[in-house]
Amino acid sequence: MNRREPMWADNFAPPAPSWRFSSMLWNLNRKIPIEQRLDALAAAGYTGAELVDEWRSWKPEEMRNIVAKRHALGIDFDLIFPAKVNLTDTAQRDLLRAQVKEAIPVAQELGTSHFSFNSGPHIAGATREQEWTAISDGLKIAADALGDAKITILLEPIDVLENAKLAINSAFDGFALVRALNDPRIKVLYDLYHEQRGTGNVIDTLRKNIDLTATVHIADVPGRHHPGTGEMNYANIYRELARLNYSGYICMEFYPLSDTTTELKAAREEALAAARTA
Amino acid sequence: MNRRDFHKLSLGAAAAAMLPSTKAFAEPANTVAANGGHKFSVMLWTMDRSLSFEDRLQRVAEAGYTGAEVGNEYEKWTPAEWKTALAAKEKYGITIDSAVPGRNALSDHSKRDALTADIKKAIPGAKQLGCNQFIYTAYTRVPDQTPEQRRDAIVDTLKYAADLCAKDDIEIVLEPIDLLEYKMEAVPSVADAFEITRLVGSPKVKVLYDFYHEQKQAGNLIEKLTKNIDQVGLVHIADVPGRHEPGTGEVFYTNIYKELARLKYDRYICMEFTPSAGKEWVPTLRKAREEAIAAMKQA
Repeated sequence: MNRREPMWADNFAPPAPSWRFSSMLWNLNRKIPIEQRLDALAAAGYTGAELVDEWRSWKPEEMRNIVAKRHALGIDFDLIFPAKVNLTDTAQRDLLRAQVKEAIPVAQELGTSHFSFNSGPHIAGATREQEWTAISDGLKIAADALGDAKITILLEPIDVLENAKLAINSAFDGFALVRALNDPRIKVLYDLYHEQRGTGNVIDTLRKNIDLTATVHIADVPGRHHPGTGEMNYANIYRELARLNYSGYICMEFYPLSDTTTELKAAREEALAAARTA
Repeated sequence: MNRRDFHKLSLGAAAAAMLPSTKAFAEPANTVAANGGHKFSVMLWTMDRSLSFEDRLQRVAEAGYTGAEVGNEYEKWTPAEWKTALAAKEKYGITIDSAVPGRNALSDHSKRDALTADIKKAIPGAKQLGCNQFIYTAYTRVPDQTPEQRRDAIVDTLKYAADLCAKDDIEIVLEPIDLLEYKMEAVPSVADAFEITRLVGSPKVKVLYDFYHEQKQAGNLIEKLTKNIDQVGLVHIADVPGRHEPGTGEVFYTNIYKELARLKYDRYICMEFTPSAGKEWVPTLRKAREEAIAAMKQA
């Protein structure tokens, strides 16, 4: 220890990291309105919620109600998917720009700090290099379209078992692609469920790419239920995140097997308890 | 392990050694029954090379295991070494459940003479040791083979090897190795291996499901176990990253053990890790075994 380290390091266990907890909403009970799902999150101690493109179908009144609700509960929609157009669709770049720009005011209403994309499908007849170039260009176009909005562009790899058509099937590859871009506006959404299902070796990949990890998604394999139901040792994964000083959102994306609030709360508490023993 | 168990064991061992009886341990013994009906073994290379075969078996037994796995080092033993080794095996009540005859590129038919020689050389000693299972990795890919050609060549080689072993009633397990460990490996995942053994279609050719290698290479451990349990001839255990004992990494072995029990897996569960605390083989192996039994009881 050197003198510049804080005094408590000598005498006390380090505090739990100041992680913010979030949950995707699509995987929670879709029969209940968004507002009620936000209530469940708030009751579980979460300050974030994430959306795919549900927001597209909201009528102005719904949007107003949901925004009022999120303010009342202190929840940011920290991540949304801004565009329907694919990154690999090089003929639709104008549409990509337009959709990102249209999503910016929505993001400001929702408190969104991340725009996420999957890679898009393989390009017929293209080499891997050509596909990676198209995805890279697409990410840069999306980042350029942000202007001065304080939003980070993310690439989310999806495992091959879920969607074999996608050009990027692992965080391992996603990190390599984003690293080559060397653009601070562009990072990776590391979904540990998808990576475990399609690739494995999740901690090694995390260690080597923590600098590019903007958000993590959490669910166990198999089944996509809460941590502890499957083959992943999330306690050790959380410890590793804490040791690596990860400071982004911890976003749950699992199907509850029982009461949503109870499971979300337990998942959050387990993560913090593990981090305290890092 | 708590101190009382340790003393009971070592006193029991000391007392038994003075008696004419050959059984080393009075109680608690390293028996399958004492392990809830489960068979646990240890891959011996994971222990310090400065320890003799006898020293290693002693530690395996002290940790409560009934099995041990070897390479092909026994082929070079002198008659005196054989005598010591067989006496130790008897004294500590250890079954040698698997051995590795050699490394041969299974998709390369031009290497068949070497494969034949390795297996023929390995069989007599294996029989002496009471070992009736050989571990084979597919080893190096042949350049320019398509995946289908590679698969079919390995299927053919395994049928041939199984025939060589048939009269001695030795089965073969195909072990995939992750590409991070060996980038020229021809069978890097159990997904490939299960396809191959199904095509071989012999009850004497199965898959060694090494959860460590599979986790490094591919993940999705339980789903593949559940779907292919009929093809699993042996499992190897270590955590990722680091290849240390379960609990040190990203694999939640509790649920893997529960699934093995639920699927009524009744073959060997072999530990193939180095202890994270260095040379603490006995307490680390003991704890790994006890955790496995506790998990399987919950299934």
